[in-house]
Amino acid sequence: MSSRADFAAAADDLAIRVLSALRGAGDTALVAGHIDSAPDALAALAAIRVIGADTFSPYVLAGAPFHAEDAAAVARSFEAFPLPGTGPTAPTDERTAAWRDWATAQLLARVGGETTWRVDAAQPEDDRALADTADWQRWCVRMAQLATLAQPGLDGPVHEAARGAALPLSRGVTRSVLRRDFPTAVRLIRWLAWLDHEGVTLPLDPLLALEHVRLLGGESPRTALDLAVARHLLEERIPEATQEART
Amino acid sequence: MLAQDTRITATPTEVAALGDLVVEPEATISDPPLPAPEAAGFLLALLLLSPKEPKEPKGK
Repeated sequence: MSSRADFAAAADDLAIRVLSALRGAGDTALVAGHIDSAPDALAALAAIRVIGADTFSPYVLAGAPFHAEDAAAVARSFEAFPLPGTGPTAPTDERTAAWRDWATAQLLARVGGETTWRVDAAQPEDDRALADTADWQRWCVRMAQLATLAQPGLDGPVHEAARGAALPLSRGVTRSVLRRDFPTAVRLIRWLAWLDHEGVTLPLDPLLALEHVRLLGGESPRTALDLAVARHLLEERIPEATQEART
Repeated sequence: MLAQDTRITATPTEVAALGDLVVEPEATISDPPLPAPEAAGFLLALLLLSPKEPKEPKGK
C-alpha cells in the first residue's frame, strides 16, 4: 500500500519534470515518462492529481508540444482516484479538491485537442464561500490551496473571486511571509501574479514579494514550480492594448 | 506505458492520503529564516568592503 510520503515524493518528482519542461528541457511525453519510470505506479498517478493543472503549465505557458500519452496518463489518474464531492453538502476540502480537478480537466480538454481522453470533473455547486473574504486569513488559505488554478486559459468563479480580492490576497501574502509559511506565501503570490497578468492594480508588488520569498523560502520542487509559474505570469503580462480591448 | 492494460484503483486510505496532500493546510509552526546560498557572496563582499576599525591616535 502506498503512503502519503510515497505520494509526496512522487509529486516532487513530477514537479521537477514539469519545471524542467517549463524551462525548455526535453521534448518527450513528460507525464507518461513520469509514470513509466516510477517505482510505485499508484503514487505516480497520485502525483498527477497533486500537481493538478500545473502538469499542463509547460504547454500553456511555454508552448511545449503535447503528447497523447500524457493525456492518457492524466486520465488514468482520475480512474485510480475517485472524484471528490461537488454537491452543496460536500465538505470544503472536498470542494477545494473538486475545483482543482475541474481545472485539470479543463486544461486536458484544451491542450489535449483531438485526443480521445476526457475527464468529466464538474465544478462544485454554489460555492458561496469563495466570494466571502470577510475572514481573509481563512479565505487566503483556501486560495493558496487553489493556486494551481492561477493559470492563463482558466476562468471561472474562483478567478472571479480573486479579481475582486487583490487586497485580501496581498494581506495574505504579508501574513504568510511574517509567519514564515513560505509555501503558502508563494501560492498566494501566484494569485497576485495572475492578477497582474490580467492587468489588475495591486497594493503589493508581486515581483518584490516573489524575490523575497525565493531567497528565504527554500526551493522544494513544488514551491519552485509555483515560483516559476508566478514568474512566467509576471513576465508575460497582457499588453495594455489587449486590456483596453477587453474593457 | 506502464500498466496500460491494468486498472489501478486506490483504497479508501490511499484516497484519504491523497486528499491530505492536495488540500494542504497552512504551516502551524514557523521555522527560522534559512540563509540563501546566493546571499553568502554578498555578505562576504560587505565584510571585505567594510572599513577597518579606527585606531587609537598615538602619542596622546
